[in-house]
Amino acid sequence: MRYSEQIRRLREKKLQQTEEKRRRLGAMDEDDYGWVLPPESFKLTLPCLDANGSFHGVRVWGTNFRYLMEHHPVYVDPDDALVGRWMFMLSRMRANYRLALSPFGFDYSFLRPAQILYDITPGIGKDGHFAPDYAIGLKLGWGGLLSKVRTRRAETPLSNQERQDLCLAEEDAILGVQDLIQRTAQEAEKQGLAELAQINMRLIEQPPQTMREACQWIAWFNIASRVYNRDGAGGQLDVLLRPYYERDKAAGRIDDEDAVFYLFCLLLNDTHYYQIGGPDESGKDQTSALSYLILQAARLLKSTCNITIRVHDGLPEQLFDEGVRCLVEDRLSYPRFSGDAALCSGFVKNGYPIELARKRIALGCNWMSLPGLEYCMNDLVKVNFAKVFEVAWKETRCESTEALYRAFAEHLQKAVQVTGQGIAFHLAHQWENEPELMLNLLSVGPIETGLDASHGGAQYYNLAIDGAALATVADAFTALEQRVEREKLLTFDDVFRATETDFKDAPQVQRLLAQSEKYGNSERGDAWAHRIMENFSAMVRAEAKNIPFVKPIVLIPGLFSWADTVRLGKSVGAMPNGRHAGEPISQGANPSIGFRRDGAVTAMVEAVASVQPGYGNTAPLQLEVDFGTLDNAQAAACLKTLIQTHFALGGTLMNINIVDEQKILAACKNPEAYPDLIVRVTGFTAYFANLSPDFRKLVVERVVRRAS
Amino acid sequence: MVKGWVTDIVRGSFHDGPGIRTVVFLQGCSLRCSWCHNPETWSARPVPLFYPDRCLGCGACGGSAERTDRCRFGARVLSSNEKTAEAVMDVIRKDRPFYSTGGGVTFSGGEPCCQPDFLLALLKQCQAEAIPAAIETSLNYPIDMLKTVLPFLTVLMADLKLADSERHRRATGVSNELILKNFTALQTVPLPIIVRTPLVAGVNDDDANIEQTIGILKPLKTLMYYELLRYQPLGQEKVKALGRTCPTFQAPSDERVRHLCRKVRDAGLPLYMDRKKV
Repeated sequence: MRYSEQIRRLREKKLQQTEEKRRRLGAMDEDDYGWVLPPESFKLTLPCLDANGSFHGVRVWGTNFRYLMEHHPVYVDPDDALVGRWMFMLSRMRANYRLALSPFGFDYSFLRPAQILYDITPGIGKDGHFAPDYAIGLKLGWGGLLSKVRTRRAETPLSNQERQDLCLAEEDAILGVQDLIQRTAQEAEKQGLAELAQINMRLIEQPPQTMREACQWIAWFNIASRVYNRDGAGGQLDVLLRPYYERDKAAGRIDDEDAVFYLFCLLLNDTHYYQIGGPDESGKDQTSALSYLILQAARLLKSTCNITIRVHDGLPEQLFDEGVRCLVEDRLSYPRFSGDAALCSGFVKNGYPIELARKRIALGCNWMSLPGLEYCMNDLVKVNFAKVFEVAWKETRCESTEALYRAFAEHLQKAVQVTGQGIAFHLAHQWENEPELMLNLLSVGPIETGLDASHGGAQYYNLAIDGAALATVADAFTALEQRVEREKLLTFDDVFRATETDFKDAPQVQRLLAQSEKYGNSERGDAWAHRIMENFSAMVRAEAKNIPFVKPIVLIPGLFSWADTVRLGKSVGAMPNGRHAGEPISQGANPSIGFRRDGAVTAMVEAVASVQPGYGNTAPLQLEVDFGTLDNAQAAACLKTLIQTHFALGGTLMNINIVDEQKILAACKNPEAYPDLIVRVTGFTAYFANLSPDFRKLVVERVVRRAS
Repeated sequence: MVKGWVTDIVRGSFHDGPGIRTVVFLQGCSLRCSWCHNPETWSARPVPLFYPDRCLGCGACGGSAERTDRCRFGARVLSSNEKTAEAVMDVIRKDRPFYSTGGGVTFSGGEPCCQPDFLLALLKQCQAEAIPAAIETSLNYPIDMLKTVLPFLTVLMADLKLADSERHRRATGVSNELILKNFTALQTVPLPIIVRTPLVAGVNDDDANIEQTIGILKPLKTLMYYELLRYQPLGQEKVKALGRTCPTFQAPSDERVRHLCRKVRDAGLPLYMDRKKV
């Protein structure tokens, strides 16, 4: 390949940048995101800050963002087909920012006691987590977007403060982006990179015309939206770029090697989530030659990457096979696979047409979204089932698992209610707290109406509430039923006393409970998991009617713990499944680690497919497979069967690590010896060496240990 | 209802035949290979095992090896449980959706043919339900037994530890006369066959043994491949749990293994080494 040397150098540089991030900042339990460090000497103070060091308000966000972009260091690499990298995240420059709890300029202390009681991740003040429609930006360019905003402002009465403010802030945002593009273009020119300079000078105002320009435009939007508030949702990349690719190719401007190199640089630039393959509105598959080139570019990348292949009846076997081969041969934990049938049939149950369901695609860790149409708070709002169980467990002097379940269900109902109230509060105030200045630009509605996406500007409001710790709680009920009620080896009092002391003086009780039947390995375990999931789903859906809003609200249940299994576990004491206090909760919809002696992936595939809430959001299967000594062709055939079967059984999304158990154990002991080891932590990929010891342990423990 | 002694059922195996498989391990074996991975299966009936690291010292067993029924913590266990064929089929059926890429069920052991009625009942049921079935077998039984099970198999996986009868007897406790007769019978059987040899240094990793083995395998018209497996000390924990002394074995050196692989390849046999195509 003509670009081999450049690709090698770019990959090497990426590793150096990753190592430098680790050296300067320590562990990072998140996606790599593709960002790079600013120069060590770089200092910046935002112009608008509240007395507490945070900031909020529509105009303030616009002003601060523009200032940050105007001062953002430029990034030009002569090996790269694209320029620009992001170095800061404005949303995290607020004092007291925490990943699970954002600063919020409005008092919701009235909700905090219940949120704390049930360890709810409320999502109040959380941003992004819905998807832009890049087609809007690719058509208009930054100049076109600016004109659109200015026209809208001119048409808006001065008395309408909300809409005027939003338009002014959007102008600031675009001007900030244009400034960074211009300064970067000038730097490229200074370095003698005439073509890059020319492309970027054009992109300050004009929409892209060529594939390279389109990739650069997408990269700029990604950079800007990351700097603004992390964002991260990409789009259907093989459809977005297809016209540019085909035009360039027909005109003889590029060949496939050029296209692969541009795509490589786009994927290297940022780890945004892209989907390839899958049906269009009418159900016709969208795979094209470009889909294969995207996969080819991803294989050259050998870094963190979040591409999902949508599996449906019309997906060409070749793309499916290439995706599976990529996972098996490269062991870089991508691509992921989503299951069209269950996603679509679930989403239409919310009253939407199938055509719309097909447009709702995989653009985040666990989430599906309608690009440019939907505000959804995906992966932001979580109910920790284990904490809810603990409240019921401590409050109820148990006479039976049925009585305990009734108490659990009552508290779960309260937890869902307070979660709904939190969403309502967020929807009422988020536009003033933190408008979605970047994502608004690529949405249908916010600019046209002058209303932020969080405040009625979007077309649809399908809001996600995810349950976490399903297996932990299902296993607790199962263990009590087995050991206390069926076998009568223990009493409820025995177990209660043991959990109160974290099994300190009761190792036998702990062992007995830990060795009980579980979700994934027994009918009773499965029954408890199904019951919890079904009750939770019904409660979530019913709660929608209690959320006052200018547009219809749909609440969609899912099961997902993100990488919060450690954090959510820390708040929960010992459980009747033998879990010690503070240990991580179970992962998403997965059965507990070690749920079977043989660690059977087939049992896992089947179990997770059976607990899908079924309304268009996911309960992803997090699958770690060690194919041992199977050759790649055999392993690929087995993996394809696992994927097909999971989706045939009703599965929605698969995040897969093909692991070498020995290698990952060695890497856990000496992470820095494996600087290029990539793992899919949950929905996202990360450099193993950059994870904290807790997270490394989490990944290692999940590795399926096969029986002899 | 036919019942049998089942030591384990492993779902979702990638390593016991083609595709994704459910492996049913049955009690009983007629060989006594000192390096055996599953020595608890030697006896025709279940035997007690004791894993001291799992023992919490509760005293329920009174220190008696036989009181496995009293242990709740998995420290004292029986090597197998009695199950009906239907109960085993219930587990097999769970993995059925995964059999599409050439997978199925594998009956292993021990020697699955040591429980002929139980095995046959399971094989018949698998055939009735169109579930592909294989056996992992030592072939150490009269030819009639082989003829009985063959019609129900989609794959046969046979071990051949040593080609020389006397050496076979010294290493496994029995001569290989029946085994070799069965290999001869397999020459005319239209069934895919996989033959495996666990390579143990100083026991069967010499040129002569492999050359003789090649001679036995060459006439097999339906041989899918011959597989060499380096010895791994997987059975040691179980040997200790049985209260026996664990003999020490070694895997052959990489160089030795490469040399033997060359011999097999030069003879024109399709070869796998440690489950990888060579």
